[in-house]
Amino acid sequence: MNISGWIMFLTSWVVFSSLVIFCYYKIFTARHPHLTAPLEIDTKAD
Amino acid sequence: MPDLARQNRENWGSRLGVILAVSGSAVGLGNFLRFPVQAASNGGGAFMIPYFLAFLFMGIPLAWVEWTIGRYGGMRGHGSAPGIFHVLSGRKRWAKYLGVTALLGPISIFFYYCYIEGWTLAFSFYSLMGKYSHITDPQQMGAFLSGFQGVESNSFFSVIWPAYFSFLIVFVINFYFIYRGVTKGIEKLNKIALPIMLVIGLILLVRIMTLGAPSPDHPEQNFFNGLGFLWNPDFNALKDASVWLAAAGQMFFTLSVGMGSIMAYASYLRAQDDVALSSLTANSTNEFFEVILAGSIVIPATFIFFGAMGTQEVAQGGSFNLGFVTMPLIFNQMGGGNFIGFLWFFLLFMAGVTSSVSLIQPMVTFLEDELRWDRHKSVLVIGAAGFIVTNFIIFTLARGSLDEMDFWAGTLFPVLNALFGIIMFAWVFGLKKGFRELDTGADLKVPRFFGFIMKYITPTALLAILITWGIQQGIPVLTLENVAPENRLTVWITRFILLGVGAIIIGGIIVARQRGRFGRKEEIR
Repeated sequence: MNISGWIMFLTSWVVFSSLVIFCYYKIFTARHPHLTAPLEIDTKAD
Repeated sequence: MPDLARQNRENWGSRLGVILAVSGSAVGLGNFLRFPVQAASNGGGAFMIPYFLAFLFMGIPLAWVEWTIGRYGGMRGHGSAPGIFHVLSGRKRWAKYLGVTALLGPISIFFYYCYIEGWTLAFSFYSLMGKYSHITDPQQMGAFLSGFQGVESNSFFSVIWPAYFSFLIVFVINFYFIYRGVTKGIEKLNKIALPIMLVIGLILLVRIMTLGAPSPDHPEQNFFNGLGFLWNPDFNALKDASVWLAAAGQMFFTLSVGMGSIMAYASYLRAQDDVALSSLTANSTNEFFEVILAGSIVIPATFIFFGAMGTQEVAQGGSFNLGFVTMPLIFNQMGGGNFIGFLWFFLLFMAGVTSSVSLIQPMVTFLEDELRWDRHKSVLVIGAAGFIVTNFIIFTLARGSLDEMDFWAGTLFPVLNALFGIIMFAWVFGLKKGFRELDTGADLKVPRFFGFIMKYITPTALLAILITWGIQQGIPVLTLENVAPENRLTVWITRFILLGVGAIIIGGIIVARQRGRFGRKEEIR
């Protein structure tokens, strides 16, 4: 692989890896995650 | 907020669930097979320049639009394109009919996609059992594939039943998850499948990276030179308009925009759920699988065993040839090849299932929301109709039914749907209201210059793709230029099937309108 190839390869890797890390970091550190699972309450009698 | 229109609609169980579901919809066979071929054939590393630009100017804005209008429609009881376009237009009579192809497209893709998915499942089994491990010749492997597909009867397969049986398994799996519903079916599937796909992708990457140079006569055939084959840029290629178009096309298909699936999935969000960051996260997940994993596995592996000339030939042979002929031959030559081959095809199978369930969902959502059918009835009716059409495709595969359906449903309709979607958002609904919707509950502030991109640049790019493909592919397809005379009847029957399904969807919209589903009473805000 030549120098230009390395530049294109590493740029692509860095851009998309950084983007995916940034997004998941924001998702998992959001102070108010808006989605919450509904409570699963079994109302049926045993 | 009063929410009468969506009392009976499901919601996603978790934020990660919807992100993984949209990511699973986007990560499909095309990520692993189409992208490497497109990049290698269109300037190598230079291909990434138009690819990045297409991601920025087309992929990201279109995904934001579909997430936003999906949630907006869902809050008003409409999760499929006809209903969403209806509410976006301020309840204009014509708007709902623009959504017909956004239902026809995905369900028609499903008709043939599930058959191909069956091949991946069967090949993963064959890999594990070593059924093709003795084959070393591309022609023999091609014969193995053709025999399996039922295209020809040969020493490997005399009947189509193994392929048909794998199709039946895949068909049942798909409808099982759809039948279970959004949270218990689709969300659960993607929460399991995506992490498995990531682990398998990483295992394959490490295996290919550690292959070294297996042929002592050709020490130059190694992983890094294989990467060079894919990534060394040919900047002269950028002077060719077709390279830009190929990058835009790849970006378009890889993100699952224009399929109606993102809108359907987003319609199950709550009013204050974020769409801006979730959409970008799903896009970046897809790009991680495509550029980082697929870009480092397929072409380097081919280069290591077939060299530069062989890889060039393989790239010209197309995606299916690469996935089902070349890759098995590569696995046959490496240590632990049977297991690595199993992992490869199982990865494709998982990628296929998470995508195909998203192709069924828009139609299920339409039947539930507009015709008020329950999920089980919707799934049974779609399953029965889909079973009949897929059988037609399976038994007429050699006569061109799959290619014909792929042109309309897989190539033309998605571009058309995306164009309708962005025009409805930026021009009919209006950017001001659109951004207010996009910003609602957002964990990411979308820069306002994307408004200009959404209004002018993305629609122009889509029109350019539509016109160019229309001329390059549409005219030969319409005039049956490349269809052998004996296959023309099959091609016409395929077109009538598409027209028939389209007519049924239009009939469904008319019935829903007569029942008052497109009236004003479900206005909630």
